[in-house]
Amino acid sequence: MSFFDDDDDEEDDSLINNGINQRGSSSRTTRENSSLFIDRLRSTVSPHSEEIQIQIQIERERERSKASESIFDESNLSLSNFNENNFENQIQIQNYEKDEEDDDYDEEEEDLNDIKKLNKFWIKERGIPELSNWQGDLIDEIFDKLEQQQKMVNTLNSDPQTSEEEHFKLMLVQTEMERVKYLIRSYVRTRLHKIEKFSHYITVTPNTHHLLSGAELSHAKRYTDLLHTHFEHSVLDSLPEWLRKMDDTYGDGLSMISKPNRNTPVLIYCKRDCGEITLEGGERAALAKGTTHLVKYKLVDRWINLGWAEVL
Amino acid sequence: MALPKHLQNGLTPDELTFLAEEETIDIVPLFSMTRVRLLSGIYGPFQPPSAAKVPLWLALSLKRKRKCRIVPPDWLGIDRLQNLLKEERENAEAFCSLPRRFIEISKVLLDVAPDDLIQPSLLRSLLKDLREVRQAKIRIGLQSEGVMRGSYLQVTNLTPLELTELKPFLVKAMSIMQSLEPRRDEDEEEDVV
Repeated sequence: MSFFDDDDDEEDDSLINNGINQRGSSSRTTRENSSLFIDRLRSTVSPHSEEIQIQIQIERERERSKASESIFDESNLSLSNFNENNFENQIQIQNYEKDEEDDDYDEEEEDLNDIKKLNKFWIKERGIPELSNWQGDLIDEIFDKLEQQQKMVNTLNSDPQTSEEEHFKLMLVQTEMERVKYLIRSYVRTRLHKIEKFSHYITVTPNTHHLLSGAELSHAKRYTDLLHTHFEHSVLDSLPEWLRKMDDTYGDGLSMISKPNRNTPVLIYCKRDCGEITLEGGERAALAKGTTHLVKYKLVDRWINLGWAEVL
Repeated sequence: MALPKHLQNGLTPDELTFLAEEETIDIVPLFSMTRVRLLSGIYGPFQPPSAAKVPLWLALSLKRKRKCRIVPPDWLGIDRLQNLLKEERENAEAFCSLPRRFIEISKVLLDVAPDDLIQPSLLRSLLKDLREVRQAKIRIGLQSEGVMRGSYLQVTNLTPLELTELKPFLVKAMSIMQSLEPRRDEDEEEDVV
């Protein structure tokens, strides 16, 4: 299974999430089947890798050439996949054009590669006041690919036979890897920032839990605990009992638990006609296709989550 | 802090440039190399007289090593920009539709590859004019009655970079207006009582 070969499950998915899940699981099976690094390199070139018995010690030469092929894509297999990919994209573009009247689902999202998708999720995460879904499968997928690239780079870099041209390509590969790593870091940090800011709210609101990954959720809980223990030890314990609460609500409805302010304005670009929204003053605003608006998050969150409106 | 304060208001111009560098652009390579497979796709082959489509960051990286010539996007030409500028000046009510990341892309191209552009200094001044005309319109727009009153603003055809400049101010203004609104209502009620 070639690692950029996601076109076969792309066609039948109606939603991106679906597609991500499928691809995530397929990469996981690959991981289980081939624990050895060589197997994995091989598996990027040939689909029957498991059948070949390998002995690491005598395979140095072939390992090198495999690694080289799989990064540099000189094999026919990858070439034909690439062409199919192009063809697929054309089909999808045509579908998208047809899709103008048929508003059921978004085909346009599907021809984006993983990196473009991550870009989108990163922009969205930065733009909106509350947490959005954790893109675990996408991140896993990208991590897998990064790991694979890293191993190939290591193999080829330590090999004296690597040609000048290959070194140059390796440099490009590494540049891209750094860009992707930066993107992942920034994405995770943005989420971490929101999680720490709203840790108490997240802990006491079970219906936000599905938005977080396991690690994020346990971090939110531990962070809240630590913070509360610290407050108690440093100040609260020496206060009278009735002042010690940390989840009180004031008379005017203001709670001590800070939660995302859904009134924050967000910038959205409407990718399709989102109808009309009613503003506070009773005025109405039309969210026509191709227009950009600065509007309260709570009024448009459905369109954002459906992918009809894009956060800028 | 997981996210430094200056990043909390939304994307910064640097980050927008980073995003713009993911857009594809045509290059004419000055060296030959077979295909290269990256995470985002397969690029090449690079064979001198024929053009190749690559992400902007790759083009810039090759350009810095003097290994390619960048083919500027079709909107980055004197005629096109003069037309756009004229259109932008004549249309006082709305903004012209421009490529989403035109400021970022034109900036990096002018910085890194001025020798691949025709009359870069003229381009630079045209782009500057275009940007100033738009900025002036934004300023006039903000002064007009009622813009700051509500919590909604239509900003069609402004590019993300221009919106980034505006957003912190608008968000702040809107939140101040919001915090003033209910209290005013209460005052009125008290007055009535």
